[in-house]
Amino acid sequence: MKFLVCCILLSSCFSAFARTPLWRKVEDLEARVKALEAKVNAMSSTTKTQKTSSSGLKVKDMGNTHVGSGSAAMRGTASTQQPQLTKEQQEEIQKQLESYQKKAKEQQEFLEQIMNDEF
Amino acid sequence: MTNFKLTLFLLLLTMTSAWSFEKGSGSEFVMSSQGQKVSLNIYIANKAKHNMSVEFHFGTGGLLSTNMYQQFEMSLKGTSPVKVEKGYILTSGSGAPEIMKEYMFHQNRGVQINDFLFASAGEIEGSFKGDETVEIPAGSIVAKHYQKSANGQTVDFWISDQVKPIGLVKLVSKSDKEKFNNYTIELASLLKNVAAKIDPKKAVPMSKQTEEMLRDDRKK
Repeated sequence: MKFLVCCILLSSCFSAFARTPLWRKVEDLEARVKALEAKVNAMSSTTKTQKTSSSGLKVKDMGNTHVGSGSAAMRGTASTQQPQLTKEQQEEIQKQLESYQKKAKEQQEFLEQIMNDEF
Repeated sequence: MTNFKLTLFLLLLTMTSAWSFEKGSGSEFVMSSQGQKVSLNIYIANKAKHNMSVEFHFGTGGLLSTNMYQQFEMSLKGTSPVKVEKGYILTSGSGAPEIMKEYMFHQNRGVQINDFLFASAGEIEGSFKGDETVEIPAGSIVAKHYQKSANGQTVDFWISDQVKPIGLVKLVSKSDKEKFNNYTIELASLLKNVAAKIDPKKAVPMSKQTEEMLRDDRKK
């Protein structure tokens, strides 16, 4: 009987917790991370895409950009493996990553708070 | 590093009459020479009714990475052999492309531009060794194997119309006489929509420094 009461009590606590602003904040952060990932993928695909030809060989679409300059090849890595991003795109990604890191820190603090909470 | 470019160049030229050349299309190769790997891109920079420009990009990796571009303009006269009319070079150190001197197209060392450029289809067919399956970074492909020798240099090359417009799948050059004529080139991927780096309208006469650099390059 005690066990049943504990279960009911815990489930009610969790459902109440799910509606808290902190939990919504976590969901918001997750959505932002997903959006950021989608944005990075979209930027990579617009500058250079790698497909396979009908004969099964690799095909690289450069999207009317130069080979070499401003690309990974200039930075000493294989140009075939890196997406080409403009300076503005890189700055925007850097800004969003910083914002993400800040929010991730808040998320960590929130999780620590939950762990320390006593039900 | 110049000879192999011309060799490749001519492989392409021999097929001019058979293939259509789309601006921005080409091939990316990995070149291994003297223990170093170089990224080599060849693509159609421009195409008009009576002429066509092909651009080469050479990129090295590592901390001291360098990029070099060369562009050749050729005349197209129906199905007759193509002639190199103009050449340009753009190095990392120069701000503008430089006009190459004509003697740079006709070096008398190893397998030459003329061996391919003015060779008839019959002569090329005479070098045919057979159809072979070739494994390259771009994948696996059945290609035609040819072999050409001149002045102590032997070039084995594999071509296929599946990798047009450049056509080259693999090339192995060997020479006992000249160290720089020992290299291998393999197709890494086909290229689409490449923008040309060199604008011939902005080209300036070649500086002595660049000319010396190209000479030194050949001494290696």
